[in-house]
Amino acid sequence: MQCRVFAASAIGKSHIDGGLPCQDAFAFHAIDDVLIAAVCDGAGSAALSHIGSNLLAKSLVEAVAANYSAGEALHLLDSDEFKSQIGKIVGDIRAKLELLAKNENTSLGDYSATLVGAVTSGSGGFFFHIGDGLAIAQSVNGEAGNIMSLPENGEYANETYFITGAEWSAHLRITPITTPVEMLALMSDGAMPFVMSKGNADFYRPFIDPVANYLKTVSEQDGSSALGSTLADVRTHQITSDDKALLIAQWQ
Amino acid sequence: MSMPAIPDVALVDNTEQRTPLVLVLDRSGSMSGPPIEQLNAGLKLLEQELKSDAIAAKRVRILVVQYGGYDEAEILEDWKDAMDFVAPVLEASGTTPTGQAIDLALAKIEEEKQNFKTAGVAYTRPWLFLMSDGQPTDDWLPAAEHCRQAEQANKVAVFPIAVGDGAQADAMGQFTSKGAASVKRLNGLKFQELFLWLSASMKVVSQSRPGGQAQLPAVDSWSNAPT
Repeated sequence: MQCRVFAASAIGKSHIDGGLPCQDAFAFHAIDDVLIAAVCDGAGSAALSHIGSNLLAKSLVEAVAANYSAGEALHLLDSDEFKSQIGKIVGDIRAKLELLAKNENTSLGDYSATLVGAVTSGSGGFFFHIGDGLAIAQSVNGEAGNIMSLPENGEYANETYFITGAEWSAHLRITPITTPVEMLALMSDGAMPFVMSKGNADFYRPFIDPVANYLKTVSEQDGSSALGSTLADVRTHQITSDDKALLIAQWQ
Repeated sequence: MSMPAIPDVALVDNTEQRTPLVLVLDRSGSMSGPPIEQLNAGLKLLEQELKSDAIAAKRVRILVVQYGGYDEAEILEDWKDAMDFVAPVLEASGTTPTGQAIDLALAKIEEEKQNFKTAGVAYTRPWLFLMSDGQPTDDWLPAAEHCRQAEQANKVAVFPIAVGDGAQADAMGQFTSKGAASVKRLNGLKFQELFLWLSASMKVVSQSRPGGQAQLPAVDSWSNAPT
């Protein structure tokens, strides 16, 4: 089995109009069938959250990949061991952000970002998640349904949790991938309204089916580029003014 | 070179999210004539503005409570999505039972939150928009305390608007934990400007994302109160 990965982000209308950068970021690394991936959404109110989200996504994927280089396959751990390992990695990155904030004379909160990620071989592994955004894995032929990690908001839809928060570790959630999967997606909250169906029960099929079929026919590079153009489609501006990031992995 | 978008992809909004807005409106006798006419015109404008915004029309959910008559507070328009909202017409007469109206509004907000939770619909913080041109005439102090507590518990955002010279900012200010200084006084009868501001604010809030600070439009088009 080989894992193929496609990912893109597109700036939202409110950030275009406001002359702000895209605050969504992603990073991934695939080793044969193993996927290491993260999608991060920088907080709209935080001045440097685009730096926070990029640094978080890249550092996290690099750190997990380093574990694999050292012969430690995190997707084979049990849930508790995995949570402890990924928690340590996130904690280290948070400490790095704290140091950056100190050196730059800024505050940790300026780098606020959410995190949704996956470490999986397609037949085992985990989602890990702090805050909003969503992860979904579709079982082979859909026979065992979907495995999902849903957003965690406060009471209100416009509140969530960030890795920069004091209580970040209490909001780190792990979801084991217990069944063989053929496709997986990580997305920021800006992409959810059109990638997911009502109530986040499933992918929105009129979106994902043409996307998944198309991606099977092209190279990873072309697929990511076309995905980026799709996320930047002006029709999305009628749906959300937010940045949008989407990462799709297929095993075949 | 970048690839064109993937063909035949549906891009539609499947979000189920609501921004509740409660209008608590004074229809006491002193509102008769131009004030109530302007208020009714303002409500019509709110309807039109929200319906003209694709996202706000689906997400803003409105309840209208009116108070007046013989110390009566009643639901004039039960919860409706903005796209289905038809501005009601208020008729001025009677007293100013602000306390009853607020308790009714707070109860309806909690009830609607339960409905959202049961249906799995996400929501933003409800707005309670309290408009009055006079001094409350009922036993309003307990209700004012309920309102302050609800606001402090982050259950609701309260916006008191004083109309005309008869409205007492001190009394209105007791309905919010931010006090009399936060009461906005409507400049003359600028209800049109007030409701334009409200609809613009609802467009912002209904789209607001986690971690974002909703940048509300300035109130200086309709209020002369310091902000």
